[in-house]
Amino acid sequence: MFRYLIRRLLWAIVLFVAVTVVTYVIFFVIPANPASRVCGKTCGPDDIKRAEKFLGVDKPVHIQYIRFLNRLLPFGRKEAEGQTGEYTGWGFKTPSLGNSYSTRREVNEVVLTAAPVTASLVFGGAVVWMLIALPLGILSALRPRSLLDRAGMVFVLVGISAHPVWIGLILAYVFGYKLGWTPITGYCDVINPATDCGGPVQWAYHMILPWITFAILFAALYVRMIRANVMETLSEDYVRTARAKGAPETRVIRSHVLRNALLPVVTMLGMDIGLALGGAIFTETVFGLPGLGQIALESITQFDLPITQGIVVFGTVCIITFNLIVDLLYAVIDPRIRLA
Amino acid sequence: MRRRLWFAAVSMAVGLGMLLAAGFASPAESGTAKNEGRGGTLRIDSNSDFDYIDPALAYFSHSWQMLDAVCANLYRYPDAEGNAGVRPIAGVAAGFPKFSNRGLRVTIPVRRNYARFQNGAAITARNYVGAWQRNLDPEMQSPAAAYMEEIKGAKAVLDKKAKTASGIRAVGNNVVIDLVKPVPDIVNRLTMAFFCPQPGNGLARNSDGINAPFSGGGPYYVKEWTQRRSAVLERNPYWRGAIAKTRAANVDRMEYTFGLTPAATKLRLDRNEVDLGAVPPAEVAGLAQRYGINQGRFFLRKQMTFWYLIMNHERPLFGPSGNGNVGLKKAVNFAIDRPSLVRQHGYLAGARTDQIIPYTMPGFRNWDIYPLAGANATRANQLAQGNQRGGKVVLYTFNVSHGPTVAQVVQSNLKAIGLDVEIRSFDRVVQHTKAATRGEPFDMTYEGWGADYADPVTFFNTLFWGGNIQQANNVNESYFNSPKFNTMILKAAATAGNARFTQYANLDRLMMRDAAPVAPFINTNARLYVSESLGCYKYAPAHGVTNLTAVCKK
Repeated sequence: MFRYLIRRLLWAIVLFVAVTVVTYVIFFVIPANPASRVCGKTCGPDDIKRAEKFLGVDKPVHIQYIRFLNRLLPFGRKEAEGQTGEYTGWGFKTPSLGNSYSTRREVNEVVLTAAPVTASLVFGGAVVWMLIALPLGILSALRPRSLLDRAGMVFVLVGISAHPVWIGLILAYVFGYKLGWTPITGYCDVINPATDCGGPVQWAYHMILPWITFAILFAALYVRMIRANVMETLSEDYVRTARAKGAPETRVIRSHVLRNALLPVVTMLGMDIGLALGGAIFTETVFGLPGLGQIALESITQFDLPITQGIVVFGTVCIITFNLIVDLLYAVIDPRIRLA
Repeated sequence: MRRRLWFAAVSMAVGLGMLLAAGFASPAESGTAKNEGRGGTLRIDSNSDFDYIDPALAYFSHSWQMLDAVCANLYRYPDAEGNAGVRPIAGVAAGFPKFSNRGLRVTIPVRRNYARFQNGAAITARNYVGAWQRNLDPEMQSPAAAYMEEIKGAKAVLDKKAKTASGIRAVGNNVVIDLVKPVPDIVNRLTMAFFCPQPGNGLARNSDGINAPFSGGGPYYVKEWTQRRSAVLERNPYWRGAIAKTRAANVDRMEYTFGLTPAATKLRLDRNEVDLGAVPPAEVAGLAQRYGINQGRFFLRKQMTFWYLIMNHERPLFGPSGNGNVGLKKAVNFAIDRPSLVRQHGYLAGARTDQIIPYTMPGFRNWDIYPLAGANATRANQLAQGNQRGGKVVLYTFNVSHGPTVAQVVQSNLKAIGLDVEIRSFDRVVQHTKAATRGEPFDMTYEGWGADYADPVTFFNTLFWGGNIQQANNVNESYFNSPKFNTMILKAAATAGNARFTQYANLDRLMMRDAAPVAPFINTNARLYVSESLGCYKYAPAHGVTNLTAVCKK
């Protein structure tokens, strides 16, 4: 187990370096100079040089990347405050993702402020999609070709085909604008509200449409997956044996079918949550949620490399962590699997 | 097994609880004014957050709109619409500047005990001097520096060779500015948010700017700013006495919500959940039809912005440097179908133009140079005859909004004069970066430009003066460098008063008639939809936005 963990961590570092290098390279292939955006629309060559030095983009790409890695490490060369590329010596320091080119705010702060919003959307959305997918998927499998099964498949088709932006706009229009049951848009913090609006009730009230929008696509995918898994498991020999031994149907379904059929769902859930944390761009944009997805979109259009890189780092860490958790959890819930 | 069942049951309960809580919750309180006129809360939706609330750093138009309500600058634009709203007046200054030493010394008297910050401290000359010195501090990396380079000692500060600029100082209650060359548009420049006074012993010199609360001595102060979420402005309790009579400050409070889509803002405006905000361009026709134009809910106002086709003078087709291939450039101006190009910007998006100076800017005179009603193919062909030089045109445009469709109209229009246009579309930033780099292989590019302040210098000297052409980051993307027009541009910039605007008006006519480095086609409109509870609507023409201090709640 310990060796397995070490091996996974080493792979995580390789993956991390690969992802961040690719992000850097893509940014530097695009011909856009962040310095010209910082110094204003009428600045001259001297102003641009000053801005380039100020942002630290006056050095070659590999030097900039090494500086980025140095900032991320808890031990290394300490950068003078507000002075990109000027160092005061070696020692322990707070890991930093740098500062935004366009707003100059610390990327750590930007990401950490936005992450809870995205987490609210993703974890809440995951609960909603599982609440939809589990009963619908199981019942569809138990009553194949029934009315419920066919209705479920229509839902799957719509959920997979319709774009989240369209779903979000329609939900906001119908439930927010026409019926007035929910807010059209906006976000309230669940704890320590940053604005007048806050608390668990207001949080949930503002999140209901984003959760449903976010959940529909995943719910559709999960209904299909759960239905297929349950149907496959129902035809297994051990299910037939259990029934032949006279086990009640509810027990057969609960202990023999679902226990086995839902194992892949755990894997998918962990991976999807990790992936979605990196950016739920569409839902956040439609509902004005100040999360990572919205920031990612803005930073890409503004060519704000530090913010984009910060979100990439955060997303990579999430995916690696959730994959690791899923693998470990899998070994716990499925006795046939042993980690080595 | 039992533990897992428990876990499943608890998860299910949490999920259902969340949905139930959401279903039974009531909407959050939102302030709505009950009295007409003075008082109430102005609610504003904004697609994006302020870039900064620090006047030294803020450069977004909606940040300047907010700072206009927060800052008591020495000079400001009056709360008037039309031409009256673009001529600066004294704000906290006791009058217009006194020029001495052949225009190299500017003395601005500051009124005593006139304006106050939100903490009650009176604004003095020192508050302005401190703020402007801070703008030059290399730690700030302020875009204001580009507007202060004529100040004596400014360059030394920017180059870290001096701590303060010797050319800015407070003498008694006067601000004294020593310049290395005259700046006739200094009054207009000082209306910009960059020149807001700063309270106390000076604001922190952080490159990421200050945070709330912030008072610039204006009618309001920034009470709260939660980045990417919201901001609150409240009335400056010391906005009273003589200064309060010069400027309305109708609402008590302003609440900003950031990050909402125009589609969501439109629905919120319909439901009176918000008073101001941008709506999707596709909604404009419906709004104009439903509410009428300028009848209380939907307003149309002119902006000091134009969109134009640039012809590259460093390429064989339209060059060489100097006046270039004048025949073909004029032919392009005759060949383009302006009504069709304007339509690509959307319903009521702007007025057709063939000039550089926008309609509302001082110095605008209506010259009839090129056809506004449609292409004049006959005249265009006469002018193009023998000047096509192979007839191949590379046109750069951006790949969203009206970028692609405008390029297609141009492609079709120029075919009529024997030009074969190849369209290359890019991301907006990439297109600008490429076209702004000298030597980039394009013949034409499509751009827009807006004024930072209401003076033609922001168009001619920035976009067409050959002296500012550099290797990269050019805004003179036509690379127009005509000795004759360079001299005229500098002469106009060095002139003051009405003569200045007359010179720019003539320059507008002569440059478009005799050199035609660009083909302008639209002066844009602001299309503004407001809530049913918003009254006293007033527009700030110099900034191209709603005047936040003048509007009121019904």
